Parts: sequence; C-alpha cells; structure tokens
Amino acid sequence: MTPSDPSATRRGRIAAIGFSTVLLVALFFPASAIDENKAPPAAPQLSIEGITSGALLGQIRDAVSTNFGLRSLAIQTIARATLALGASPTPMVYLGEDGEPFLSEDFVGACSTNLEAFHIHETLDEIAAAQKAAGREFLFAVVPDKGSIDRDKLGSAEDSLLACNDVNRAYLESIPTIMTAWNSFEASDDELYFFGDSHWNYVGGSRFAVELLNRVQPGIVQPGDLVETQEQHSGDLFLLMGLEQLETTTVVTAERSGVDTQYDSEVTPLGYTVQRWRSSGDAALITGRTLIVHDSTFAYNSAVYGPYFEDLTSVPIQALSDPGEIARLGDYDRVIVQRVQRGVQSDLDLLLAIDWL
Amino acid sequence: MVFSSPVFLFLFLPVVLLGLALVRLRRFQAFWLLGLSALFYIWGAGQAVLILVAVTLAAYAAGWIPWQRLTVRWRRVLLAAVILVLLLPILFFKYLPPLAGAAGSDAFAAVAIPLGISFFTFHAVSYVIDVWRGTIVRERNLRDFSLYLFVFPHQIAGPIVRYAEIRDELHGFREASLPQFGYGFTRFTWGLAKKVIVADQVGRLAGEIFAINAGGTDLSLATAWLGAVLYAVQIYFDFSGYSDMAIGLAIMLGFHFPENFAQPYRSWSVTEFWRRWHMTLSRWFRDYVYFPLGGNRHGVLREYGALLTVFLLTSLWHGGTLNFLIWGGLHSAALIIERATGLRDSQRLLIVRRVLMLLFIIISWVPFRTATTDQLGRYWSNMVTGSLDGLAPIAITGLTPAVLIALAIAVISLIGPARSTGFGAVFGTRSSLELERFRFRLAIPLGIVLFVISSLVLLWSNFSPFLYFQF
Repeated sequence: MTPSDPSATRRGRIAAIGFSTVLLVALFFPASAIDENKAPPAAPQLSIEGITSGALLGQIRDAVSTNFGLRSLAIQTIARATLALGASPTPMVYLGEDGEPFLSEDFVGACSTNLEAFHIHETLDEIAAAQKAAGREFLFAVVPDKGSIDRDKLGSAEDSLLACNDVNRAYLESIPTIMTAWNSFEASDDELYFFGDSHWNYVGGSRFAVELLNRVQPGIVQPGDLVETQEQHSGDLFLLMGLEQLETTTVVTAERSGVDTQYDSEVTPLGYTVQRWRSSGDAALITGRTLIVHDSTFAYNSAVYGPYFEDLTSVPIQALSDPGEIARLGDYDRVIVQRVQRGVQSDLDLLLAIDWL
Repeated sequence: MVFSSPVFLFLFLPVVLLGLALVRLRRFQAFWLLGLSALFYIWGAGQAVLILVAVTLAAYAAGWIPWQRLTVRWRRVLLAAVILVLLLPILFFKYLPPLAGAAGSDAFAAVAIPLGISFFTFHAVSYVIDVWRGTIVRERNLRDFSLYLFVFPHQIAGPIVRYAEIRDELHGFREASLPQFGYGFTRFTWGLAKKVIVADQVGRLAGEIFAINAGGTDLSLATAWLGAVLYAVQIYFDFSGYSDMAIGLAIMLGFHFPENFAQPYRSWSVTEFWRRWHMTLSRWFRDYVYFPLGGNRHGVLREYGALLTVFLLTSLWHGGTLNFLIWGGLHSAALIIERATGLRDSQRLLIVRRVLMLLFIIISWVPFRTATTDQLGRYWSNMVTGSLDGLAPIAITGLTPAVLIALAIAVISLIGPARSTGFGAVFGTRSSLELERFRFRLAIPLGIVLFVISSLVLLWSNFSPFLYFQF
C-alpha cells in the first residue's frame, strides 16, 4: 500500500472519521463531579456579544476542560497508580514513611516566608498594646504544622524538609505573647494529627483548647469534662491527590455538668460563618464577651470551647478583609486569634487595620 | 488555544478532520481550513487576529509589486520598506514595551504580544524576499496565500515553513492516505507525549525553583543545578514536542512541513547544536541574513560580523530584554571560538566535548529563563557558590514520580543513534517523506497508548483540588 493508492486514501479518510468520532465520544462521555477549588464553569451562552468579544470561546474552553466526561476517571486512575508505587501523585502532598501524607506547603512555604522578616514580634506587640489600652485581653495562638510534630514519620528527608520550618518555630517560640504547643505536643504519646489530613485531629485540637482555656483562666477545665465519640473523617490530603479516603477518628467535645450552652450560627451576606455560644450555670465561666478569630484548625476544637465561655463568638480570619463584617459583631472584652503555623504571617496586617481591634 | 489542551484534542481537531473527510471539495477544504485556522487564532489571541490579517494583506500586496522591472537601487529600497512594514507589529508589541520600560516609562507595560506574531511575521517576510529574489512566483489567490500564513499547525510555534515547500499542497486537493494519516497521528501523539509527559512535568518544578530565585532568595547549589537541568529538559521537550505535533497535524491535513529538531542535546559543538536546534529558524537567518551579509566568502572578519549580526537578531527575535542578548552573546562567542580554533570541524575528544556541550547548554539556558540580569547573576552565582545544604524542600516534594519519569525519558533520549531523531529511531523513518520505511504496525498501537497516557496526564494536570483548609 503506497500513499497514492486510491484505497489508501479511502482508508485514510475512514481512519480520520474513526479517530474524530472516538475523540468526540470521549468528550461527551457522562461526567461525574469532583470537588475542586474553583467554581464549576457556566454553560456556554450563545450571544452576539459573546461571539464578538471572544467570551463564548473562553466559556467553551472552560466547559470542555472541567466537565470532560472521563476526567474524574483519569484523575483517580493516576492517583491510585502512583500511590500503588508508594509515591505521591502531586507535589502538593509529600508521602512520608509508611505512606503517611503531609502537606508540602508546611515545608515549602516555610522557606519562602522567613517569619522574622515579617516582623511578627513587633506587629503582635503593637496589637497587644492597642488591645490593652482599649481594655481588652489579646492572645495569639499558633497551631503546629503536622510535619513539625510528626517529624519522625518523614523519613530520611526530615532534616532537609524541616530546615526552614524549624527556624520559624524557634522564632515563634521566642515571642512571649504567642501561645504555642510544640513542646507539649511532642511530649504526647497520642496521635494528634489525622493520617490523611493536613490538620490536627479532634484529640490534638482538644489538647490545644484545654491549654488555651487554662491559660485564659487557670484550672477551668476539669478532668472528666471531655467526651469522646467515633466518626469517619475524609482527609484533605487524599482529596488533594484526587481520592477520597475515610479514616476512623475520635471526636472530642466538652460536656460540663451544671452548664447550659446555647449555640447558633449564621452565614453573613458576604458568606462568612459566624458561630455563637452562650453559656450559663453554676460552674465557673470565662466572663465577658470573647471573640475567636480562626482558620480551619478551629473546626477540630470548636466543640470544646463553648461550655467554658459566657459569651463566645467565632469568625473566620478571612472576614477581617471585610471590616464591615467585623464591625457588625460589636465590641468584645477578649480577642483570641488561632492560626496554623504555615499561615501565621498572612492577614496580620488585617488585624492591625480593624479600627476597634 | 494550544495543541495540548482538551478543547483542541477533543473538540477542535475532530471537527477539523471530520469536515475535511466528509466534504471532498477543494474549495470547501480551503475555506474550512482557513476559517478554522482563523478561529484557532482568535481562540488564543482574540482581536489580535486583525494584526495578522494586516500583515497578510501587506505581504500579499508586496507579491504584486513588479520587482523585476525596478532598478536595483529601487528594488532594495522598496524591499526594505516592505520588510519594515511587515515588522512594524513585532517592533511595536515585542520591543517597544521593554525599551520604554528601560527608559523608565510604563506607558506600554500593559501591551500584550499577540500570540505567534514572530513566527507569523517571519513566514510573511520569507515569502516577500523569495518573490523579490524571483525564486518563487507570487501567489495570486488571496485565500491560498492566507492559508499558507494562517494554517493552524505552524501558526504559534513553527516550524517556519517556506511558501515553496507547501505551494503545491496549497493549490491541490489534499488528502492523507492511511500510511500518511497513521504517520501523522503517531507523530502528533509522540509530540503530545513529549509536551505533556515530560515538558509540563519538569516545567512545573523548574518554574517553582526559578520563582524562588526571582523572589530574591538564594538557592542551594544542588537546587540551582536541578532547576537549570529541569529547564533545559523542559524547553527542548516542549518546543520539539510542539514541532512534532505541528508536523504530525500537517500530514493529517495533507501538508508536509520541514523538520525542526534533530536531537540537539547530542551535539559536541555549538555549531552542531545550531544545525540541530530549531532548524527552520537557523535556515531562515542563514538564507535571509547570513548569506546576504557575505557569509564566509569574504574573509574572517566579515564572517564573524555576519555571525554576530545573526545572533543579535536571533536574540532579539526571542525577546527584547538584556538576558536574551546575553544568551545570544554566549552562543555567538562560542561559535566564533570554535571557528577560530578549528574545534568546529575537529573530531577529537567527542565524548568529552558532548559532556561539556551539555553543561554549556544547561548553563546558557539560564538567561533565557530568568527575567532580569539580577536574577541571572544570582542564579549563576548559586550554581557555582551556592550552599551545600542539599535540595530545598520544594525540590524534595516536587520530585514526584511524574517528574522522575520525565527526567528518565530525557536521559534515555541522550542514548541511541545520533543521526536519527528519537521518533526516527523508533519508527524507522527520519521524515514524513520516507513513509515506505515507516513501521506502521508498531506505530499505531504505540501511538494509541501514548495518546491515552498523554490524555490522562493532561486531564490530571488540570485538576485543582478542593482546598478547604484555605476557606
């Protein structure tokens, strides 16, 4: 068969039609949704303006890229194949010994954010002084990264991975106004972090909460206050790798006899979830109005705090970028900021910018 | 739009092929391909297509100038004027912003370079000069001429195709036979795999390492070298992969494009490197700049002057910053040293020279990747006097199996017969014109496997996991 044979060109045409058909069938294969950090693309809107501006082409491109039918299959196939080889499919996740995943940002981010250069010490002193002048208590609490506690699970690359992280840790521990937990966490025999998640687990979160509560009001947490139950947890690190993997975890909550706690929450117009706990009863309570400004670590110790505060409000730290959201909450007697180690430097300027803070 | 995107692979390409296969009329073929090529460009660059239309019309009109009736002096003056007109967009979009920036003005900072303007302009200039020289007859049909410039496989990243090379195919009824379609499909998937499985994987980590340097942070010795090696792998596999895809697509559409790469990293001299790297660009500068300046026929000084001019223009073609000039300066200096010392034609110590050449290639790509001389100085300095701390965390976490596989493929590509491309060595043919030796029965299953794997990786790369800890 030579290129000039009539039968060869006919077969070439058939091959082109067959190839094109296979590609189009793949394109229109039924899609299954995947959780992603981006809004699902809108369906392409046919309009004159869309055509002339090129927006229609962009919509088609986004829709094809994201809604591609075989995409979820491709993602899971690669993830499973790579994990089967004992490695991580994505640079966002580092696999330590025994296949335990860690968030790479814990190690990488530390090297691009020399905390001393962010003048955190000076900034926190400035904030604390302003709060004191306004008659408020202020506490900045830092949650250790998973890698900095479970370092023995990182394998032979431990020292290289944690080189910058350790420098930042030493700097944070040298600031007296910061509450940290490295030493107490390292001394613990319990698993304080999820296996497949970048966060501490409920046990780690409650351990930290108890330390914080006792720091605000020594002796307020009594033995027997904490109650444990079991649940299944889906780890974010596996989601980052394109998979969902459940692990059984111990959920810790606080139940204080003689204390009645009312809980409510609302989503503000700008989408921030504000939670409130109001407690009353015979037992000792931390009095006044308390505001906790937090990141995602709060999800795993929030159930411990409520029964110890007379009036507790929590708001995600991102709300600070919308000062009106904070202002509408009113004034507080005590402000606690809880941040994970890898995010300590971000949003500090927002704290400074809030008028009433 | 790029070839390695889901919208191209699974929507644009099948629509193009189906139209051509189902409606077998020459006029329809031409309009279908021209229309979709224009859409391809609009999809990537929007209204900048009007600039390309203007360049097309100017080059087409220049073909109608009665060059042979003009005096020598007027022919030259008019040719210079036409070339200047064709180069105006490239001068405005590519060189004015950095020049204005260097002068302290940010008036043009927001000006974006139209996609593929350099390649498009060089196609147009080559056509005008060839008509001027009388080596080709002007194209009378505006549709076919527009198709020559616009046809989407070479539109964004080459190869730079001479009008004479595809003139007959522009005028005739184009139809790929089964061997041609099989070759085109396999060549395309070979290039897609080079781009998606190798270049994109190493490129991500290279980008992160160079970003640290750009941020003003020093890199350890090992990290700096890793970044430079990764970038050298990325730029070759990316660019040559794109050329493979373009050549493969062209065959599927009934065109034959010239080869553009021939294992340049296996060179033992800089001279040889430029005979193997981006060959159609080297050919362009040789024929339209080096030879007209006298080449090597008028003494050593004139030869070196022509060489320096070529590399000055090559540097500027790639970009209007000082770093590109440094890159071009390194290569031109090495070329002149090779010519002056006789190393160019020497066959001694080839293995040692291949190793040294690899080092030169890796080091000389650094100015290509860094944006400023400060970044370049810091990077080169880190490659020599960087700390011995080992790899940075970003490199440890970034060396995923995908990156390691990509690096292994890059190493394997350095092994094998030096005279053949990797594709040629596997499939038995060096170009699309030697299909009788093409290993069809091996190519199709391997092509399908590569296509499936590349598609999986492509779809994976677009995955943006839900990061709820950043809520």
